[in-house]
Amino acid sequence: MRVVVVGAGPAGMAAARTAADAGAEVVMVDSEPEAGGQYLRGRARFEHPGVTHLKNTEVWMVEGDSLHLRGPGGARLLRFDALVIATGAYDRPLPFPGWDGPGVITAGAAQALAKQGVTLAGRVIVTGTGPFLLPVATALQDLGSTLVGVYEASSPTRWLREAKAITANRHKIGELASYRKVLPRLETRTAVIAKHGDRVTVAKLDSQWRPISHRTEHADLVCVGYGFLPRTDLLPNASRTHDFLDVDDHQRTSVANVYAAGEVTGIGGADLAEAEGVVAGAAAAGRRPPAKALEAVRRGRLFAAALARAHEVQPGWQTWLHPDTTVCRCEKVRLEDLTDATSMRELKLTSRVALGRCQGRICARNAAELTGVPFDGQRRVIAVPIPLGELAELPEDKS
Amino acid sequence: MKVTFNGLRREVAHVAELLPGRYFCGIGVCFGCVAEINGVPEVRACRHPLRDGDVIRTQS
Repeated sequence: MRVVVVGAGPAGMAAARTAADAGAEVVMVDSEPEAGGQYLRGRARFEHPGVTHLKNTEVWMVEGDSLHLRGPGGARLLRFDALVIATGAYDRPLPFPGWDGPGVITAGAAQALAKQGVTLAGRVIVTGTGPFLLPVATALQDLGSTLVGVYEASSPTRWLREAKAITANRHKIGELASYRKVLPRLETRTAVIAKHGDRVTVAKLDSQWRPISHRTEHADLVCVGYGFLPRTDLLPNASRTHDFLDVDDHQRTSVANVYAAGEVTGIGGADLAEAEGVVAGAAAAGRRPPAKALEAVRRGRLFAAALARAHEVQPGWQTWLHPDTTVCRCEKVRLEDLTDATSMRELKLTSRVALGRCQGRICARNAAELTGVPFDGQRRVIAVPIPLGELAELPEDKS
Repeated sequence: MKVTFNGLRREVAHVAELLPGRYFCGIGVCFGCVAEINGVPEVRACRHPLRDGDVIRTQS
């Protein structure tokens, strides 16, 4: 039987290895030149005699029991008996005046650059919510940038309600210690709410994230990350909650023979992603998942749920925008251009929000919250833009 | 790296330096950094490992 794994981060690598060890023929498809995903970025050494690793290859659609691939060898179809989606997640930015100008990037972009030994500026700010801000700030400081501030929008007291999750995941507290160098620059209930040139408006926030006071700081680069959005494009019709794919205790999605592992199911760190990968890889190969991995998933999910609650984006961010603040970067749609719509589809067609190159990956969630239309998950038929010529060259329908 | 950007010689450590305001997500999701690289149109520059001699053009 053939198990195909999409994504070669911690979850995908674990799924591929586990399925191959169980005797399945495994193909791991990944868009990057090396395994590791965003977390390990080229620092992973993946080799397994039972796994064929297709590098620099993008999957643009799942059709029945086949994947449409685009890679160095051109376009092709890859059939599977079981599929594991381990495509990860990307940073959610929140818009503010100036976020579409120079000197603003996502926290993930800053981290990706840092892992390549590059920092873009001397004076930097990291702003957003969640523990991921700390390794980003640490990496920038280690590269010699001056860390003006790390601003966490949420209140740390929200974690006081999460004793159960913390007790089950003590090692996460240990991780915090490795970021101690940046803790003196950490301010909570604080966010960047505007940037004009190197003048950055930093606000103290109330519990709903409405500004209650502000000051000016000077920085060349602001790195923004308000949690993560999952890359679920390949399963437009799978059942999901808050956009993350729903899975059962064997990592099965609502789609037959399709499993999901890692940050497409929720954000809980690389250790949870890897444990989910082991469970998904075993189940996809028709084996009973190991008890140790199931237990690691159970504990990790407690932490992931606590993280989601403690760092939930609060609606006060919507007051940071002015009428002329850009919401959709691709199509330059401003707050005042958003129409009174009752659905995402109507909103897109009347304002052009989410109709640009990124297909709403960056702005759709924010636009939905700003207008109050239901955000129905990101449902695209084609996951990656492809030239029409390649579509035209596809083989005729098999049926 | 010594590259040509919109017809001008530039020396940069990373493609992000050429695209302020456009290089944004860094991982191929936002498409802000799409450029023509060495004659290939519509390349997400953030996914391109920059090399000496690369010719980068941004489309309007």
